[in-house]
Amino acid sequence: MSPKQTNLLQGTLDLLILKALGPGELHGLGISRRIEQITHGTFLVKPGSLFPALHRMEEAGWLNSFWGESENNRRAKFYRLTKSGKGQLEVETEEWTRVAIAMAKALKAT
Amino acid sequence: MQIWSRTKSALRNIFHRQRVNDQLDDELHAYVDLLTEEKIAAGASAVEARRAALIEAGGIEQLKQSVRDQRAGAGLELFWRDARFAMRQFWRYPGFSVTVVLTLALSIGANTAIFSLVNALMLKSLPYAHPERMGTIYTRITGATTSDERHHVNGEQFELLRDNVPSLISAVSGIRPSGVNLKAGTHVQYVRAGRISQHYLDVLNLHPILGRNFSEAEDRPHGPKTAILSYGLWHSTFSSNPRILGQAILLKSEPYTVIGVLPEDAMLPVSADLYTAIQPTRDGEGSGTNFDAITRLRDGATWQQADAEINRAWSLRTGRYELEDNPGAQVSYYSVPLQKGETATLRPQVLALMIAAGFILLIACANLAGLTLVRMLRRTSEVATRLALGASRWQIQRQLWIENLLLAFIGGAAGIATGFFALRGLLCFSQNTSCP
Repeated sequence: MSPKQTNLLQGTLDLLILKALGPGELHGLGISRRIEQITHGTFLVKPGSLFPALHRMEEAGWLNSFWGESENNRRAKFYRLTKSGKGQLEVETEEWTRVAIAMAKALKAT
Repeated sequence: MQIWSRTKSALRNIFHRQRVNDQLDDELHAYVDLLTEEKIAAGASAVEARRAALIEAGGIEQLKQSVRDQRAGAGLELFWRDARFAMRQFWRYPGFSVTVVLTLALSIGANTAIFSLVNALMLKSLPYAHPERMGTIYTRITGATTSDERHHVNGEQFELLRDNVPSLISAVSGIRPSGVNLKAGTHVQYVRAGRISQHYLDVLNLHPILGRNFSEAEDRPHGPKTAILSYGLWHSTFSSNPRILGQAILLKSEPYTVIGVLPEDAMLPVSADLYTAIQPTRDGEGSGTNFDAITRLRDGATWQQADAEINRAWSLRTGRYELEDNPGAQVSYYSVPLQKGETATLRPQVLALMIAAGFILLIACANLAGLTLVRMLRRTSEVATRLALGASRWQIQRQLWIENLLLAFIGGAAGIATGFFALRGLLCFSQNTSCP
């Protein structure tokens, strides 16, 4: 896999996680279910990619985490966006929209 | 902002490793529990749900490892782990490690020391103002026997140089310092005394920090006996006494008046603890070539002018020792840069040493390459085991790189230390004096 492709995939995952956490805090499983839901099942985020990404983003200061209780009263670690995470969501959304429009135009060109 | 946050995390990961790992463990177990529950809710049996959840998670240990690899400071931690492993390897094979470090220390040390000499003698310019305007005089003789080298000068030559060569400031010194007893008050000490003429310090462009230079009267034969102290002697023997000027000291039981102190970093071609005026004469000492001449080109003059003036002045001498054994020879004089003139005799020796040291380094490299190769062959099974256990090629390469670089680094440090001592030894040897 070329590094460029990896970056693109990583960027996609980050943006999806930020977007999933946009409305409010979620635990790990909640995030992957939410991503599944908002992409209509296109992206199934495996824990092998989800947890490294969550920890990386927390270390980057975009997320913070706390221990809480799940819907059915189980202990779980929750994540929520920080202020700089919200900023990052805006930046990446804008960036992604631009790329997506450019790609769509490029592919439609004859 | 992001860098700050990542640095903070890296520090936390390194210093609270246990706590961070425990939390990760908790988090992943909680995740698997949630997943299991989800599956039970979907109708699976408890055992089956748990199994499916674990399979979906891809194994808790693997999951933990993939998170750890992502963390801030992971690279540092891996490096530290590899470095510790490498150190354990060194302890396990002390023969190999000591051989490598010693080989590196000796070969690098020898090269460092000798290159320092080459650098000081030939590459760096002299530590004086405008070193390109400083020179000395070579004598070229073509006749029955031919030579082209620096000669010492006699009293007549120096007087002509001083009085009839206006393009240059000229000065002479005794050829080497002599050991004398210095008596100051009740204190007696053996010191090296150098003898220099009136303008010697002007040629070097050095100015005493206390007092003054020798005057014309003091440099005349039978003139008043005066001395200029080096900073080191003034500092140690006279405890940096600012009222030293005008005091009398005894050298070889004769009274000398202290008239100046040299700056701390002053380095003279004749290195000594104190200097007296040479008081050059034409007879006695000055009837033979017993002086070392150095010159500085005056502002506005050129070396061509100076050489022409030297040739004119010295061809008019009454006694021409150059022609005594060599009648009918052509004799001419020319200026060469002081650095070249001062180092000419040492140059071939130092270059030979440099080449020898270079070969030592080459041989050392070949030996080490062979040694490392043999060691690698012996470790093939270790590498095979690690590959079989799932180490990536890069992990194994990184381990070997770190091991060898660490060894090279230790050897290099030892080499620099060796070089430092070797250089001191060489300097003592070349100055032929007792070093502190």
